[in-house]
Order: sequence, then structure tokens, then C-alpha cells
Amino acid sequence: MAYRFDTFAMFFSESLSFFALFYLWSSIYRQGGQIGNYSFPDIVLYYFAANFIALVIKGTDVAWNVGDEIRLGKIVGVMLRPISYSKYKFFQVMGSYFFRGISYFALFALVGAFLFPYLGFVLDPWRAFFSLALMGLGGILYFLIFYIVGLTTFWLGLVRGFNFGFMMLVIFLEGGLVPLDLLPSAITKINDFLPFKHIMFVPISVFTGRMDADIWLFLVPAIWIAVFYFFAKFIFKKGIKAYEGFGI
Amino acid sequence: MKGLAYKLKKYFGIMLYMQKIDLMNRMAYRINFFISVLTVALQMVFSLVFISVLFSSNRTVAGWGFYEAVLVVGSYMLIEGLMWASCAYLNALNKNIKDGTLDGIILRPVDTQFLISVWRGDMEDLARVVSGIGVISFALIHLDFAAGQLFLNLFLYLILIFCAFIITYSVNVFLRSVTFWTIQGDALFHISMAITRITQYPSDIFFNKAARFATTFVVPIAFMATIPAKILAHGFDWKLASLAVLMAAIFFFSSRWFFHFALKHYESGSS
Repeated sequence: MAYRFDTFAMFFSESLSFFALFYLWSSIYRQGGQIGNYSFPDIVLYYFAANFIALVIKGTDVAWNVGDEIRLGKIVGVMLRPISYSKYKFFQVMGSYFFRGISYFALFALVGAFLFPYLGFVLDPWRAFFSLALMGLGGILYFLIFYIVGLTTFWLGLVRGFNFGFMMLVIFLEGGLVPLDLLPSAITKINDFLPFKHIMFVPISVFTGRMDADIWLFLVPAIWIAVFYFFAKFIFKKGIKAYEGFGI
Repeated sequence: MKGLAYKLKKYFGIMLYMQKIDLMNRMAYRINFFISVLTVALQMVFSLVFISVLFSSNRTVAGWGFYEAVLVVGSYMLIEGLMWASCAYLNALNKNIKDGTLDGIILRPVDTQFLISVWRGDMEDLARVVSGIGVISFALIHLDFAAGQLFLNLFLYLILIFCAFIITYSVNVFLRSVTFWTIQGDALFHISMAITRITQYPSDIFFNKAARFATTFVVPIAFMATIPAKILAHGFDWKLASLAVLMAAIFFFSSRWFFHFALKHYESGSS
């Protein structure tokens, strides 16, 4: 509640983007065009779900936050606490996911109640629950990726450019800009070997019924999470050895 | 007149000095700087892929052909690059208000709005200007022009780009000034980004009257990239051009008034 203005403003900014995309795709479909195997309701539903995910997991700039704590020496104060830095950051970010998840879920449920009948979409509670669970894994994956990006401050000194670059890459490869199955096949083939689609595209595809709610869908993001977890540990260990505590 | 010339020279000198210091700061983190430049190029590629997907089934979107739409994307990149290369410090206004560091800026014998705008510029955004020019050139090569016509269009385009810059700057001043009341303001950055991002789509996509009115007169997204691109692609339209100049003037002076009005509500956090 202390940050209710920022929460509202974030929602407003995502709504603006959503309405612009709504008009953009409307003008394509009004001319009778069809992009891939997406009908107009499919594409609106896709961006609706994408906006929800973006609002919940992207409200905290993890890399910038971690980078700032390293750059300004604040990390030393955190390390003196009886909790590891990675755990501290993890629970801090998960807390903010949870708060935003609850707030935006209520808002999106309200909008969805009006929007879904208009789009001819029937919500399957099991699919919704399944995709929420996948979204949770995607959120952890997103956190770990940007936590590692933040840790590069140990060597780079400033993480701004690297963070922004990675953000662009992730938005594109997770399906935040355009559904991944509409991209050229060369890109989708490469992307199949990367973790990013599990942040947004896979949970949305399950939610919209384009992908089966198969329990195996948890396996790949879980493996990526394990890989990134150990990599983050390794990077932190190396980084803290190289750290000179500048800014203190 | 002499006084105005002296003032302009003084402010231009301050701006150059600020940019020089900022560039020196940036060079302290060289790797970060060069990664930022690469990122800008990456963003350009993604924008073009997105446009290609949109045009994969239609020859036109809202009356715009592919290369005309690429002109809009190029203009958006140009404006965004110019905006943040020169006035990136606007992004720090909420931090200055929250930390009370705005006190130090207000006390200086230079216009406060000028200082909170140009104190820092993101030099890596000049790469966006260069990529924007590249994208525009790419589109122009594929559009048919007589040489004389192209030069005339380019001349008018530059005037409209200047107006678009003023409008983009003014919209940002309006938005950031809200921080004087809310103190929180991190998310205002996202609103500003969302507005700027929308300008990369031709504003003719807003087909209903209310949306078109809002994107022309309330938040004049149409003037921020679409109208300059339209003039460049289709030639001079005096109605559009004069409206762009008028909108730039209205937005500049009203945002300036609003900033000073908001400044009166500043309660120094540090004192």
C-alpha cells in the first residue's frame, strides 16, 4: 500500500501498451488479414495474459537492484545478516511477486470477466491453475537470469547497459513482443534450446489451450532453474573474491 | 535581442559542459557504454522483425505500406535517441525529489527546468539516432522519389522532427512533474516509455474517433513520429505541418507552466 501510486501507474502503463497493440492488431484483422494461426480473439487473449505476467514479474528490476547494492557497497551490510545474500534477494523479490500477483490478479479477473465472453474464450480452471504454476517457475527463472546479470557488476562496475540489453533479448525471446510461433522458424528453432520461452510463451500457451497441460512442461524450466542456481552460486563466489567494496 | 543571444549562448555552453562531464563519467565504465550501444542496435533489429511479422499477411496496415511503416519506426528511434541523449536527467527527477537533492539544483543561478533536463544525457542513445537514420535511409531507398522532391521532404521532415522532439520532451515534463505530489514516481518512467513505444506504430491504427482525438490532441502521439514520417513519405501538407508547430508551442509552454506550478509544491525532503 505504501507504493500504491507506483502499482497503479505500472498497471496504467501496461494498459496503454495493451490498448495500442489492440488497435494495431485490430487494424490488421479488420483488413481481413490472418497472422499465422492466430485469430483476432486469440491475439487479444495472448497480449492480455502477457500483460499480466509482465506486471507481476517485471515490476522489480532485479539486476539494477543487485547491481546498485554491489556498486554502492550496500551488499556488505546485507552479508552481515544471518541469511545468505541470494536467499535474501530471492525472498525479497518473491514477496513483491506475491503482492503484485494478488493485486493484479483481482484487476485482471475483473477485466477478464468482461473480456472473455467477448473473445469467445471459456476459462478452464485446471488450465488456469496449471499455467499459474508454470508462471511461478517462469518467475523464478526470470529472477535468476537477472540476478546473475546483476552480479556481473562485480566485474563491470555498472550493469546498466548489460541489464537493458538482456531485458530486450528476454522480452523478444520470451514472446513478450510477439507470440513466438509467429517468428521466423530459424529463430524459434534456436529459441527451443533456450530457457526464455518458459517465462511467458509456455504459460500463456497452456492458459489459452494452444499447448496441453502436460506435467512434463515443468521439467525443462526446473532443469534451467537448477542450472542457473548453481551458476549464480559460482558467479557470486568468484565475484565476492574479486570485490573491493568500492562505494563503502 | 542581445540579451537573448547571450542567454542562449550561456545555456548552450552549460549544456555542452554537462554533456562533456557525463561522457567522462560514462567512459569510466567503458564496457557498460559499449554494451549499451550494442543493445540499441539489437532493439532496432527486434523492431524491424516485429514490423515484418505485422506485414507478413497484409500489404498495408492502416493505409501504411511496409517501407512507410519502417519510416515511422526510424523516426521513433531518432526522437527517442535525441530525447534521452540530451534530457535523460528528467528520469532522475523523482529520485532528486525523494532524496531532497533537488534543493541543490533549485539554488543554482540557472533555470531549474533546464538543469533537471540536461544535467545528464545518455550518450549511448546517440547510437539510437544513428540507427534511426540508418532505418530511415533504408526505407527511403525503397520508396520512389524524384531527387528534388526528396530534398524538400527531408527539409520539412527535419522541422517536424524538431517539433516532435519538443512535444516528446513536454509530455515527459508533464508526466515527471506529477512526482512533486506523489513522491513515488518510478512507474512514471514506465508510462513515459509506454507512450514513446506507441509512437513506433502509425497513429492511423487508432481508427475510432475518440482514440484518434486522444492520440492527436491529448497525448499527441501522432505528432511524435507518424506525422513527420507521413510528410517525408508523401510530401508537404501545410495543415499538418502548421498544426505540428502549434502543438509543439502549446505543449512546450503549458508543460513549462505546469512544471513551475508543481515546483511550488516541493517540500524539501532533506531539510
